[in-house]
Amino acid sequence: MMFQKVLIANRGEIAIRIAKTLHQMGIAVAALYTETDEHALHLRYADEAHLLPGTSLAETYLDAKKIAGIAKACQAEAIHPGYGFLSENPSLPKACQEAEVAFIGPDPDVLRRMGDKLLAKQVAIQAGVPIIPGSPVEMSSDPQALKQKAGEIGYPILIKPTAGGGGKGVHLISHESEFDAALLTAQSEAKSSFGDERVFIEKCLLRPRHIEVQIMADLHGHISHLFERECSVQRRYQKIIEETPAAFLTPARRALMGHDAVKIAEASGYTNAGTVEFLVDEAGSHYFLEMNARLQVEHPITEMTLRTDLVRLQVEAAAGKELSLLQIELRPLGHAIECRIYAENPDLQFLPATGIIRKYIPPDGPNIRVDGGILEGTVISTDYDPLLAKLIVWGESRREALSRMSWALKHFVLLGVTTNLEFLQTLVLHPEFQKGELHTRFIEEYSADLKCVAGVPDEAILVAACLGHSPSKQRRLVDESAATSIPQDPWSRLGAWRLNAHGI
Amino acid sequence: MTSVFLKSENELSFMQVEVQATLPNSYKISLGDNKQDVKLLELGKDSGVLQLGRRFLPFYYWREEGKIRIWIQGRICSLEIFETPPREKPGADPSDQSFSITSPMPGKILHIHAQTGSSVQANQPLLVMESMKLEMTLSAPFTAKIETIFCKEGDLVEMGQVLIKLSGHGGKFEKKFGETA
Repeated sequence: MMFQKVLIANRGEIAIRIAKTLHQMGIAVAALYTETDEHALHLRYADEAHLLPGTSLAETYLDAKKIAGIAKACQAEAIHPGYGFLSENPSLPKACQEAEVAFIGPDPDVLRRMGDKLLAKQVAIQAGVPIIPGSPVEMSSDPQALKQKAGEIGYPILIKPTAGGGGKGVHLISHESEFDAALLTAQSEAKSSFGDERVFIEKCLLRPRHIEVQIMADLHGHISHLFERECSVQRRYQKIIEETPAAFLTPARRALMGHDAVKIAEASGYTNAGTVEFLVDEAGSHYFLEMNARLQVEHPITEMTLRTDLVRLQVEAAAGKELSLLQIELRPLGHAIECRIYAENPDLQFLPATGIIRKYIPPDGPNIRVDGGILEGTVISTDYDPLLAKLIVWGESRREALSRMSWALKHFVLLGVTTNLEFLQTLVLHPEFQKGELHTRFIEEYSADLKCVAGVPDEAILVAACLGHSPSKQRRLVDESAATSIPQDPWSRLGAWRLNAHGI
Repeated sequence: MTSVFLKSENELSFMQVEVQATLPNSYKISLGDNKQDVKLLELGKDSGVLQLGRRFLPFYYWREEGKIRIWIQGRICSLEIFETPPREKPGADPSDQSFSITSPMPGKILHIHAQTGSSVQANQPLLVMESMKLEMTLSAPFTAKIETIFCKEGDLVEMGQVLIKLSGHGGKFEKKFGETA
């Protein structure tokens, strides 16, 4: 029995993406918006929009009871949380249970356990999956024990918040002499960011690759993995480029990691979609890092190689359908790459950029997909999540996918706010990237190479010269454009809050 | 024949381009010894097509705060267009230019590495500031001399506030068509 109506507890690009699948499945879409958000793009993809009364994030997109209440009142049978917001917060599936509305994701207890970094590691240990050497739960509030453990593991080590996510509050300690000060800083940051000052330590692998495995489980106990994604190219623990398959993995390692991911999902009683993250060291050994109990930003690359729709699988699984994903039959084809387009200035150390989108023409063509949430006229402020769009390409081989991605980046028109588009062009063309020699310190290591080429292209000089030649004609044209450019989007008046604040 | 002066965002010197309109929308453009024949098609308030030889190149542009941002062939650049050579003061030698380093965000000045009167090289770090737990180093965009430092360590600054004034010999930027990387 499929749902008739689903409420999307999110906004922006992911809400649009989910709405598309729901409609294609013949399911009615209920959307949420706040008082100043009538111009939000995602509302235009819904059948009915419901106002979330309130002015702060806590009162609106982070109020589980309010959201579940709206779902029940409008007779939505399920809620899809998207990613960010409450997607990994047990309060939402709990509120859903109380309102007798289905939650498209795992149970609240599973969510809570796998969302806690240390509890998740315990599940991995129980499942017999290797973990990164680190401190156990009991040591989280014991500075002396932590310091001793650090000495045993060996420096460099990372200190991380137990209740954290998305790479926030993570610090590198290179030497024992730095330990005490770093611990104090980490504890206070953990307290202010996550309300929990507990921290744990972990061995810092030198040039690891970040490989994650997509899991899909139905309510009948069937758990499959949908292969891996390589997310090694990151900056400050924020992913920039993801690809699948991870070309350096041997078939044996790939199968082993997939199998380990399924073991962890089984051990935690997991249902619906999730991702198990691993780090792979230079020797090729993999270690469990953490689990993301939700759909991820980079899910489209898995969809491209497996020719599937992960949101559809999520909805079907939550509706009680038995998923017919026989592991032996799942066979990914070709190579897919995703680049995240961010509003940031690579020349100013990636400082978040602001502005109004003046021109937005994403590239198109066979095997090119753009998942975006912006339009011309959208106001980008620092209160926003700086992710503007995701550019995904598929190719029969990695080489073809790279070539297609270079083309697509070069043909992506985005004017009005500074983005990392040109930085991505340089990155994709970098010889080490082309060779697939990736690891999580890639951007730092090649930062000199990746600095944008200085110099104005001839074509721009020619255009500017022509425009400068007839200034009165230009003035008239520009005055026309200025008159129609008053920003209509009042989202910018909402005040200081951050969209998608929790780990992505 | 008209002279158009173009200055790129992070450069001190300007380019002098000679533009001669031949037919409506067609121009002969000279930069130094090189000449190019171009045609501007479909010119609108924010877009157009540059015909250059056998190539038809779409471009998009937006004017803001006296600068024009142009997207063409996957690259974006910011240029100022002047009808006369940009001058620091009326009557002054147009090749003496000054350039202000402004704060990209509200924050606090942590360290100043520069001294008034000293010469700096391109990419040499000038100051370190912090904001929202981010530390940022501002460097010299080109070889210049530190004319004035308007802040000191510990100051709280606003976005856009002028921090350091650089001066240097700008003058004409000798560039030829086809030289860009």
